[in-house]
Amino acid sequence: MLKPGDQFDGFEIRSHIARGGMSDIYRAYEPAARRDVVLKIPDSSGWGDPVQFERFQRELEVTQTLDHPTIQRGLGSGSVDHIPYLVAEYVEGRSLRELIDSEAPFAPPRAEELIRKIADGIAYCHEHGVVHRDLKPENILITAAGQPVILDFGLALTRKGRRITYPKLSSIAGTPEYMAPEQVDGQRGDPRTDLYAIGIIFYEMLAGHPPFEGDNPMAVMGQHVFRSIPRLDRQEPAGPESMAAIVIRCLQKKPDDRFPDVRAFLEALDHPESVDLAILQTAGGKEAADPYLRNQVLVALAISLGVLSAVALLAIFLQWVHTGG
Amino acid sequence: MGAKVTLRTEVLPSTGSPHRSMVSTTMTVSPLMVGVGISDTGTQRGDNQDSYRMADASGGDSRLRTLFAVADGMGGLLHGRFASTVALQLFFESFLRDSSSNAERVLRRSAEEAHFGLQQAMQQLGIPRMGTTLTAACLEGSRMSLAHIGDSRAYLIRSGRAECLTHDHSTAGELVRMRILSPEKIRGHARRSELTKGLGLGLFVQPDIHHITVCEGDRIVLCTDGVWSVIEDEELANASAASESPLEFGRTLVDLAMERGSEDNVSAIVIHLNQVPTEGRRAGGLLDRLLGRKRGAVHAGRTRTPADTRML
Repeated sequence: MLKPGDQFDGFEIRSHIARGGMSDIYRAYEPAARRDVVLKIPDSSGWGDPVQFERFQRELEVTQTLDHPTIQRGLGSGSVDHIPYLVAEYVEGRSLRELIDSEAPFAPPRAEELIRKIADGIAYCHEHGVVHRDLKPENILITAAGQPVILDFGLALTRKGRRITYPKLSSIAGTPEYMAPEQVDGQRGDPRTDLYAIGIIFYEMLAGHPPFEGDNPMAVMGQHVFRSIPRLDRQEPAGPESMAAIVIRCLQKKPDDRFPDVRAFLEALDHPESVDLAILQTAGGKEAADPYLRNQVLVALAISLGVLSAVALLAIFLQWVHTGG
Repeated sequence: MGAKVTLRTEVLPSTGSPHRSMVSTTMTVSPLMVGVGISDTGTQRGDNQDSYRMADASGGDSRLRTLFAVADGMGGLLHGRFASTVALQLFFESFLRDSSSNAERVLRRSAEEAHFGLQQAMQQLGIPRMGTTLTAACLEGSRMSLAHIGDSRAYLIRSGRAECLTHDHSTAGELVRMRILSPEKIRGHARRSELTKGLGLGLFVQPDIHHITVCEGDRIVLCTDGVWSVIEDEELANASAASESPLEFGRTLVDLAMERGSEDNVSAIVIHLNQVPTEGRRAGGLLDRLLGRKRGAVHAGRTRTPADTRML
């Protein structure tokens, strides 16, 4: 790992920001341009891995193509001893994760203002053929002026892009709290997959916690597939019904049942009076059948029946012995 | 009738690239079984991070015991191959040191030793992340004991059917186990390779241990995900039925995986059981020992290593 003051291909390392995926992310100074930049350098466990290389190439391609205040700008790339690295603009700000952890639940107007800006950036991506697929508060920075900036397009789906699988050493299941049911099912996803993540982030800002949580990432994934979303308007603090209905629409299990695109979601926010509140009836109601839980219940029932039968047989036997059989 | 163990290594031309070759090792335990290991870098990667090994692991009490294992290393260009090679070396050395013990106990302990050995190497060499899968089969009479961790697989091919004997320790594998994902979707799942368990990963290691009764004519396949990710179970059974020898079967598997554009290294061990002794006793074991046949000769996919090789 590089240390502050180290020189790296003409950049001066200022600090280690984070370890993301299988890369180290540094803040560095670029003397030629007199600016601070972000360097993303894969750690040695990703060297020679074609999947990692493709992720890098894709991120570079995406961030250099897109130009929007909500998207972190890619500035270029390089390689040292055949190890590729990315250069991106440095954004001063706090991550949405930090903000949620310290300040959520947000008042509905604040949450709405932030989600509108995030959704606008994502709609722009979709209009340019890019689906982010890994939207989460950790990947969104909020500047001092309140502008969200979306980072990390390493998993992005592009029109030409081939399928990327997660490497063996990637952290287990990433952040399953923001995964759409179709991602749990292993599908590539489409713009409505990002819409689902937007719905989860909106929910979390309003409620102070995501709708599905747990210690086991697989169990959280299972909840996305089988459990219905709790109603936001019945949470504490209760959000407006129209906002709750918009969130529920984003979080439908089948992509076809969600808003057709992110612009339609923004339009619904513009016209809360015309939101169909009937969709609230589908939330927090009867749970979809969860085969894992059902199996557990069946096992518990079978064990109970077995124990009861054994006790009954023992009682009959003792009675028989007592009566002199 | 004494069981005679012979080992032969061949370098075969690779289907993946005319400039590359694949290594094949055949261990014949005459007349009982033939085990063939085969490994190819494949078309997508610059190096082969898979390893395989096989050994006569008979103990001092005349029981015939054989040990086979494949490992798929990870840790990038520098450390993936190192991880799988070192793990197999430590695993086999540990097993052979105490090969007369109960199979389950010795398999478990050998996996633990390989795990801690890898962690020690990471610490001493300053390697940030490194690990490997391990799928090992110990055959003793009609009993096969499997030790498994990661997403390599063991298959039993019997009566024209291929049955996967292991459970993938990956995100997609866990989703299947929890019945969230249907098993047929695992090959195309984006998180198929994302491991939840592996040697060298995490604090402790808990390999799955299975025991299976094997029969004459059975074929056992141990393979890395470069093979099974592009070959369906049914195709595996068909390829076995169409191949007369285990070498032909192994070669067919590798060629098919290449044809299908497997993105990983491609490695498999095929074991064909000609006969199955009922008690696992080595016929003529005493004679073998009197004739001075060495036990514990190990053969690895890339380097031949005697059992008494010193640990790294």
